[in-house]
Amino acid sequence: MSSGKQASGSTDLGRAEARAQDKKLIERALAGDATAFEEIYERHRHAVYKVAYGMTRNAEDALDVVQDTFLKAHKSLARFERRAALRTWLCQIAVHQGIDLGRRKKVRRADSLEDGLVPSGERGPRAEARERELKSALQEALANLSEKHRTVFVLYTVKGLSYKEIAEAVGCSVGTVMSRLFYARKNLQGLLAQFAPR
Amino acid sequence: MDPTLEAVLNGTHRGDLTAEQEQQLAEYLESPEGLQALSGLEDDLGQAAGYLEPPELPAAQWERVHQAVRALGAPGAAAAPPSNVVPMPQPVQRAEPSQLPKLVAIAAAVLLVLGVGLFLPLDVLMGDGQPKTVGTMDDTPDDPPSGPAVVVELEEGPGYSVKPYTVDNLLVFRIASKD
Repeated sequence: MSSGKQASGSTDLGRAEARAQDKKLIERALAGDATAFEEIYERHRHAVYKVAYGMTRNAEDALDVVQDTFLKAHKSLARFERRAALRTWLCQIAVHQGIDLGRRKKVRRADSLEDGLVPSGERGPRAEARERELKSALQEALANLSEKHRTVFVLYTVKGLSYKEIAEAVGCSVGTVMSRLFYARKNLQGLLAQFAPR
Repeated sequence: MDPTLEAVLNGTHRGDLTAEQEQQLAEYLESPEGLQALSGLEDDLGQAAGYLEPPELPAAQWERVHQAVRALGAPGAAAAPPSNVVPMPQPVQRAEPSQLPKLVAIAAAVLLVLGVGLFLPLDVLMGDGQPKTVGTMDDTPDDPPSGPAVVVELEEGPGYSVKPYTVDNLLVFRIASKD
């Protein structure tokens, strides 16, 4: 396995520092410091956006989910049990908000395929077209995953969330997280192989 | 081996797994063969995740979220109104005052008097042209008309004159400017 989600000494240290900073911010916010909650938002909004986008596959919907997530977190911050990391808790809320929004809208609107691609002067038009094609196929494959498999995969893509934290966010065991990721990989693998650099 | 699990391992299974099948898969992945099957998992998923990065949004698109969060204040404090509430438009001040309210007031007075005048004796209203008050609260008629009584106070002002007259049993007040 690569180093992505494996716990190394340095990542553990970084994680512990991040948790300590979050803890201080929560205490300040609960003591009435309005800027502390804004700092919490600034620290975690990109991770929440990533989860929100993974669940909704639409940038505008994802922003709605981010907003709802922080409104909900603001309301419930006093009840947040600090056993879990703040980021895990926020991602968990974002997953639920994303699922709710998807159910309300029924039909998910996928973003234009152009949206997620960073224009690169180094790639030719054929490579870019190929990448667009792959992205489209992956979006389709992701949409066809069941809600629980998609959720685990989307949480996996958030930097800084360990398998244990994903398991906490979803409410299952680490073994189940692994099995769901394995399943997701099997569903995406064929596509990835097809588009592997030659 | 469970056929569904086998299909999952072959990458041919589509659809959901039951809790039991999920548990079987988790157990399998903890075995030596399972660990081998997991090799390359993060490379593959990392590659997929890289292709599915969300688009970077311009700051302007984030602004509404920033505003909503800023408006929240400290948790537990009274929240400011949400930013998506559109304020009521302020009335536009006219450059010159309109004559319309004055005309409407006059018309309303005329209509009111026309309606009420039916209950008042005409001789009470006739006089010497001096400012006078008719139909006050003290003017209780000896033989009050049936139905609800309405009392109206009508007084000439410095700028307007009031002249009552009748047309076909209809009491009419003419209010005219003295200019």
